[in-house]
Amino acid sequence: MSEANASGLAETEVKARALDLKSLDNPRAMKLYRRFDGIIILVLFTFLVLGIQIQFTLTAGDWDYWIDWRDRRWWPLVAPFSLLLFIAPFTYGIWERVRLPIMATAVTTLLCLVSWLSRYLNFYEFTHFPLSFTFPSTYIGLGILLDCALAISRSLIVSTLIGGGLFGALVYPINWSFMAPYKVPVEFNGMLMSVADMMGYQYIRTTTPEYLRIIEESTLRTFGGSVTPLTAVFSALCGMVVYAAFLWVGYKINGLDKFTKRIV
Amino acid sequence: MMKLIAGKTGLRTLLAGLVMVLLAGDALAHGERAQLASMRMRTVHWFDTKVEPLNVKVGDIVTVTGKLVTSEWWPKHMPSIEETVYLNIGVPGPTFLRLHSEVNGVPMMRSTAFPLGKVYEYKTVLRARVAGRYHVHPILNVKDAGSLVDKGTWLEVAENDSGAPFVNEITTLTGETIDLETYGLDGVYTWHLIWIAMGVAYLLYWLIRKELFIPRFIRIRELGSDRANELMTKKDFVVSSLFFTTALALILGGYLWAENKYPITIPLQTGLVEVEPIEIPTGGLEVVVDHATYDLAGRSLSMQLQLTNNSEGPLRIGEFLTANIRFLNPDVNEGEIYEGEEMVSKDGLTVSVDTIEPGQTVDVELVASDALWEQYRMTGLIHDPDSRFAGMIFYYDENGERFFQEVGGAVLPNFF
Amino acid sequence: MAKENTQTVALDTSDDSKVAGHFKRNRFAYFFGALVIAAGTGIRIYLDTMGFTVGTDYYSEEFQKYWMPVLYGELILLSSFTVILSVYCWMTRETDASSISKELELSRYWKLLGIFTVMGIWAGCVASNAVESDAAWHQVTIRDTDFTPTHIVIFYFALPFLTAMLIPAFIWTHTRIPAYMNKISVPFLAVVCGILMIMPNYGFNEWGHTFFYAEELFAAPIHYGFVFLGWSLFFLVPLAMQLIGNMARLIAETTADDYQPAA
Repeated sequence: MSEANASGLAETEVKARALDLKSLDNPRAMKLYRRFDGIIILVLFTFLVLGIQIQFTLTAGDWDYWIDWRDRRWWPLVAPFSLLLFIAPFTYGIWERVRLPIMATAVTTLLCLVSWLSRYLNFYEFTHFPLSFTFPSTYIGLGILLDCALAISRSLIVSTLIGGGLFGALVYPINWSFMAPYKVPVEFNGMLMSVADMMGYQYIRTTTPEYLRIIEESTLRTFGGSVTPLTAVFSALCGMVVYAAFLWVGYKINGLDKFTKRIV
Repeated sequence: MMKLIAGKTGLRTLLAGLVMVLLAGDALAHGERAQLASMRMRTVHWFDTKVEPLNVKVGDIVTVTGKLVTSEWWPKHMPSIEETVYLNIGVPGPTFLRLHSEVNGVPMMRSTAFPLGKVYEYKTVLRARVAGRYHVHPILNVKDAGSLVDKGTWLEVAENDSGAPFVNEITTLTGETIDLETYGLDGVYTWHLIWIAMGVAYLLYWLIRKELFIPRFIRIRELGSDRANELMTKKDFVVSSLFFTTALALILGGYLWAENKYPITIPLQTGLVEVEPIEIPTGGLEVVVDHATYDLAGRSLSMQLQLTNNSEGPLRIGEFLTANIRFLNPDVNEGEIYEGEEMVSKDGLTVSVDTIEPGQTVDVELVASDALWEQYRMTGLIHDPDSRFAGMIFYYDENGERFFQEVGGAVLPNFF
Repeated sequence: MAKENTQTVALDTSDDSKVAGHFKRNRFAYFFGALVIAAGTGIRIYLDTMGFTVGTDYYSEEFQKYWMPVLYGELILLSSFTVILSVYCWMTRETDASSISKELELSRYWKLLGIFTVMGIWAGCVASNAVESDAAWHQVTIRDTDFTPTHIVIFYFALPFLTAMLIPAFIWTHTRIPAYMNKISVPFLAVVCGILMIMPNYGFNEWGHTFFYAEELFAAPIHYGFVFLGWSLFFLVPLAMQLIGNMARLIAETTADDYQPAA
């Protein structure tokens, strides 16, 4: 109360805030608050689903649709970049105002659920691709790491460094558990191909030719010849930077919970 | 919602039946009619396209063969086929499996490059996968330019007799025989379920609590941002730490488990392959295009040509091909028409001089005229920013041997 | 609306059982939510059935017969829906905020949340059905014109329908709820403008496709316009905070022990 006064609030506002606080002990008010929570979760999450689906489809979708796009150099970089960019502004607002470290897990889990539904309806039912060729990747574990880093450290900066970094770095390992079988070698017409390449060749995509894939091509290898750890480190850096940048966007946007007198 | 979706199968069958009844005639194209007329005339000349057999069952083999010539009149505004190109097939999704494809005998799993003015013979072997009626088009995907489409051939695929699910087996280099239709899916489902369960559990922990959005909002506003962290309890800390550790352990454990189970893996394979082109066989006819006009009302293209026969026998012009439309000269009556072949105008070509004798130089007027010009939207030629045409002339010697040559040049419209 | 009735709605002081009360309270969301799901399912079945059979060639008679009327119907339906509802909300606007009781105000907040729930349900349908249907479509067919079946569904119905709901909801909120009357909520405006702008952005998309004609790289820069406009959803958080602040205040006041409803 005294703090509120010190911050220069009007007397009526101070009184109203005291009443707000008092309502937390009022079961009738709490019942309505809980009802509000239920609705706001539904609304927020359904809109989040649309937002992340548009964002992810149009930035990292190609890599996520086809198993023969999930390479070691581009996909582990593009996917976390796209996700962190979308997660950060929501995390900022929800953390600052209600202290809930949930947005990264919410976005990644919702993306996973909607991707499965969408792949089934659109790629399996509508256009006949087998799910073994078009299953989505998972990023849920990364979302949990990012949110938990925030919950444990209670600091956006620390969570950016630890969570943002891990989110970028671990895209390949988290998916490798079920992606490895698709990278087993096959011989075809005297050439070496992975199972994923073979699927890309056999399951015809009329306007997604082989050359359209933005994937790793041979070039100088550092870190003892490996590409995956190299991408992981760079992706961790990108994760931190993009997450920080969009937390700032979130900070700006969340300051705009205002009213204006007219449409400028 | 899932219930509603599940219930749609019956309605879909009904509607599909309705469509089948309504679709008596087949004049469907698959995107190519939207392409610029000049783009279709001056990029790739497809010919001898053959799809066989035309009636198959799921699991049967279909072979698509044909030839193509890359045009020397390739539009400058279009990225060239000399850079990157991929031999593809136009069917609605993987209704077929591609088992094999080759150009001039070279397997075409990857992309390649085609120099201009050369001949390429291609072959694609397909295996029918989903029952239905399909318009099968050979396609070349040219990098940054898009799909160059040959004409389509209708193909009927019936269900197989056994009704058994489609299986696509291959053997890996590690000696395992796998079915690509379902390969690896058990692992995919299991891991996704684990992660979804983790994600949902984490969200439920935070969202199912007595005080959520409004109460926390009020308390944080009251505490001020410096003390807002007081809302985070010790339990929150412990649970978050547990989730953090479990997630990290699952990620690393899953990675090591997969590394152990699949010790031999390779990166995705890519890169260009090289194909030796075939030179266009010269048949002794020298062609100079004097001028060409396009008659809008008459739906015809007239070409004034100066032809010199440098061969030792008489030559007769039998066919003009442009934008996948074949205009045949009925007087010559050569040139095979394949079963199910479309876009053929059997008497669409008129040639002012029937036979060009050896050593003779003659001015010849070629008129290619048919309603197909209109149907395939070639009337759009007038709207192109680069009004030029190209096509292929097919001519025959006295033994009926076929030769071909590309012609092209500027084209003027004739409005009246 | 009678005051007693309003109070019942706003504070849920009815005698209904828990389940019956829930359905009664949320009948707006249930009814219209079911309606939009039905509309979505219907158009999805139409797409599944008529997409590849008669939808691959804009210049064919079949396309003109089975798809273009759908497009015209959508355009007429959505534009009249938006205009009629918006004009109605505006014409019946209330100007005297002081005549609106706290209970009525709170009940209107609940109704606004109901409207948002319906929009959210639609957003979920669009996300799970429409967005990737266009991706799947373009990767197996040759780009024809802008009027492909999946575009007719997503660009001319699914996303504009969200705008068609948002605009009247925006006007309704700003003419019915005292906290929003005679001023404009910045985050609400940002959400509406962002989603609205997706429609003119089709122009950028199609213009871009005149360069690399028919290739379908989804991560291509010509698609980033949609991504950027999708970011307008970031403003949902400040909008939610506005609602939280206002509704908390109203609930705290009207549920207080010493609260006297206005006569």
